[in-house]
Amino acid sequence: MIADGALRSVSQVTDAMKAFEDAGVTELYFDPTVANLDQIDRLADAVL
Amino acid sequence: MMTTSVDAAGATERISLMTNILLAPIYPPVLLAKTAASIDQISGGRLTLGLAPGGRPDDYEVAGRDFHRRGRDFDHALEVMHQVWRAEALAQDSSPASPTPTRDERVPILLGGNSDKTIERMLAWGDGWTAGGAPAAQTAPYVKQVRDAWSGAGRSGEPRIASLAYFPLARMPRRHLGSTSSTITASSATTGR
Repeated sequence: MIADGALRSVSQVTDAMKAFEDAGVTELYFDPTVANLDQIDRLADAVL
Repeated sequence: MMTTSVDAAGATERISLMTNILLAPIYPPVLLAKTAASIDQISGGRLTLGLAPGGRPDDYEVAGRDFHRRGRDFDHALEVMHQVWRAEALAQDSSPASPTPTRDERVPILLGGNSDKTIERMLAWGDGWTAGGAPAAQTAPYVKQVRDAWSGAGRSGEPRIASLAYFPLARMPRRHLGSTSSTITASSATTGR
């Protein structure tokens, strides 16, 4: 389920943020699934 | 999971920390409460506990805990943890546990799970609910139940509602690195779990 649902592109990340917000979620926690701190910068570039 | 939170608390100053999700019934509740209070102190009040009983028997088997008692054990743990955080003596002539949390004699808790008991526990002990890693479309109906239960029970304000998203992203061109970075790609980032 995790592999199937993983967000692998910037547009998938931003679409998911909108979908969770629309579903009434107030906090979204991002898990990079790979042990690589670069993922944090990549996420920041995608969403900030 | 709690040890990772300690490391994150020491390495950062502003981000909030959350266990999402920690199987509370497999831990001794006094130790769990003390550990959470310590991380809450170390991080300056940035910790939220996401707690759930979980649904996998093997998690309990390897921990030497009874899977079929997990609901009762969870209720008991929530009770005991709050006693610890209120610095109540848990046995005759015993000293209260320390440290205590930074705020309101408790560490904020979000409950995970999809049962009626989850909502009961959230109303009794929680600040809200966590959906875990379910997709948004599956999350929406339960969010409504959570909000209805919250207002129906007369809880003030809004419940916190958390979700978890998995995001292995391939390397993108970094704006501040200029055009040379666009030649770099990383295949490791596409490895899911």
